[in-house]
Amino acid sequence: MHHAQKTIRRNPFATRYVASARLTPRDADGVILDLAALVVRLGANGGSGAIVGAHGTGKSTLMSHLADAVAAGHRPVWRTRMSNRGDTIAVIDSIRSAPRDALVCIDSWELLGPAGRIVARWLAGRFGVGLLVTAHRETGIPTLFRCRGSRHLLGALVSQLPGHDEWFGTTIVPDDLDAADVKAGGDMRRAFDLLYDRFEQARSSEVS
Amino acid sequence: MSHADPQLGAGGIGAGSSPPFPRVDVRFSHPGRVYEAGEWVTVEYLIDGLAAERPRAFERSALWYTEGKGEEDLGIHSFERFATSETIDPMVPEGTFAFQLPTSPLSYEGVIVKIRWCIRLRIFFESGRDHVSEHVFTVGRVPPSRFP
Amino acid sequence: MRLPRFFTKKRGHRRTDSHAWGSFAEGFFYALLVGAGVVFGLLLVTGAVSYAPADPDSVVLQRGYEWWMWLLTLLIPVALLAFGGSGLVRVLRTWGKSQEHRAAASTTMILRRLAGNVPEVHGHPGVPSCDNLENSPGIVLRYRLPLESPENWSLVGFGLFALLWNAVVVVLAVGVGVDLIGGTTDWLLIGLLVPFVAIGVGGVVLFVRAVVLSTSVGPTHVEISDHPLVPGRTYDVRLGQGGSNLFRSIDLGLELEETATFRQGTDTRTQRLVVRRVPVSTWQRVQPVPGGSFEARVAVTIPEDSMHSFSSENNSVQWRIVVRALPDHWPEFTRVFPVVVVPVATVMAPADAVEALG
Repeated sequence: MHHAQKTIRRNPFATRYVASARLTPRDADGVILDLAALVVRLGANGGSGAIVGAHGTGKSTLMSHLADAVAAGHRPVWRTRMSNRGDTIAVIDSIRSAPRDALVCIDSWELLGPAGRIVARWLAGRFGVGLLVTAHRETGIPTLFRCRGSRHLLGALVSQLPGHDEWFGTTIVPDDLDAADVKAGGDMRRAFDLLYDRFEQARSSEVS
Repeated sequence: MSHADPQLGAGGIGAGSSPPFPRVDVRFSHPGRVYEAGEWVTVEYLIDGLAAERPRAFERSALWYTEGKGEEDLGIHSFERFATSETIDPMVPEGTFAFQLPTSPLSYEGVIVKIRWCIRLRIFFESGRDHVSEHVFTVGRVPPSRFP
Repeated sequence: MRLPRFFTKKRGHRRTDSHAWGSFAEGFFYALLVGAGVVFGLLLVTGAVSYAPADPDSVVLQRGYEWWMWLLTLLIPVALLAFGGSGLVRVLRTWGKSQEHRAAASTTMILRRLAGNVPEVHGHPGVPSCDNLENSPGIVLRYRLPLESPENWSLVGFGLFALLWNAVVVVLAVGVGVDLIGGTTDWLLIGLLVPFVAIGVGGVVLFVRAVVLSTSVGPTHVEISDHPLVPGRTYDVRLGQGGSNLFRSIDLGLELEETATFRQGTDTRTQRLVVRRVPVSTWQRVQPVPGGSFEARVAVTIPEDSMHSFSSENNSVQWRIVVRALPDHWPEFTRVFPVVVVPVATVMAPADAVEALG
């Protein structure tokens, strides 16, 4: 084994491995979602849809993969992500610039504010653009999928992480997942944050 | 996009259901892959499995990135792109390249922040898909930090 | 009590005196605007609404006020509230943060990409610039280090809260007083006033306590013989601690802190973790010279295997000199002085040192 490999200590719960694009979208039972069926449902809803759920329940993950699936069907997809209200103008501009029948993905719909949301929907209707948004509650845009966190989902997501067979059952055990799930209250992102610390603590103990 | 890192195992990161990707073998001038700042790093690579699909572009780079709880940052130290058949053919399926390391940053195994150095080989295919292979090495001999 | 100096020579880009005073003054200005907006608005609203004495249950708007007059009248207090409120939020958000953190937090995602890299030490990619740490000469040693102090958060916070809350209390009290003088007793308003006054008094007490603590313990100064620092080398450090009271203990040490910024849903969060502590010196039962300060000079060695300072857009590894003091009869406080550690000097290998693979 290379010396470099010995000193490299990958924490599978690092941002790099648990980012939205890395994980496979699943439902609350941990079952992988049928993206093709969701794309069909999106079309049946008039080309727009909302992914609704609490913090850290997989909305951004689902949006990322769904956008890929839509793009694979040769429909233009524009992706935007709101970090704060200052991004409103950029998002509105994206809707105006998108070609007809394109799908504009807006992560964090609520950050647009009431006026921004009204303008965005009006512009989308005016320019024939579909909207795929993530939100914490009903938006007025047809709900495409409701995300919910659970212990089953956490277990399924953890099983996807790199090197799972090497560290699960030793460095991280099922009790750690139970504890993280309780403390995170359904927020998978928070659960990963707790498991990151647990992994580092456990590994420090193993070394000492 | 498929991504293979031999240090993580055969599955790599986020393998999903993409078609089989090429196998990339890499050899560093230091067998232990540990270098000092300012040293020259020589890398030899062999890409297997390109017979089925022709590359339309090839990139090789040396960079550092952060890993941990924060958003990932990266710094490109050296980068080369080959986009014509005349320039690609000598580079694949095997080749050698060298680069000199800067004085910093050193590799660091922190608790919530880690700094890693790696080389990346990225192949772009005619079909539109691409494959990236990442190979980590160590710069400096900073001992790891432990969870307090 | 040390007051801020109003006429001094500006040194570099940083403030010449306490960050706390500067930000407190800024926050005080915005708080005044918010208070004025609240008072003005309440007076306008309460003055424009009355009831018909013959029918106390009905509310009558005064005649002669068109809708546009309402809009115009309320424009001033709304503007005061908006301007003052946004300024206050900005002061609170940037309080205690470094220059780089403020620049990163104030831009949108789009602008952040255009902002470019974090300033670096020349020749050391990823090592943060130390320009702001070396632009103030020390009295005895070469450099005086700037202070990055966490406990002043509470001082500004208590002050702003006390000011705002008691501004509202004053408005309510004026309303009650006017009613009483007019011969009416609004029990609802009086009932509301009681807990408001209690909280307002509590806010003032906490603020005064924080001010007394801050002024009685005095400022902390740290000077260093050289900068930036290199692993394996030893430096002279001079500590000066002001104050009139006895200190049960004063600790001086080195710390290595990792900082990671990440997105959690719509929030951007920053986590900090001290991963290494190097104790340097401890003093017990320290009594500063009356009118002067406790001074000590120690040697600080940067551990040979130290990681150098590192800073990128979302992650950093920073060294700091930390002074922890426990005054007699007061809670412990911590004062932080950032430093930059560069990697050990590297001899760049010549081009012909490229190794061939055997």
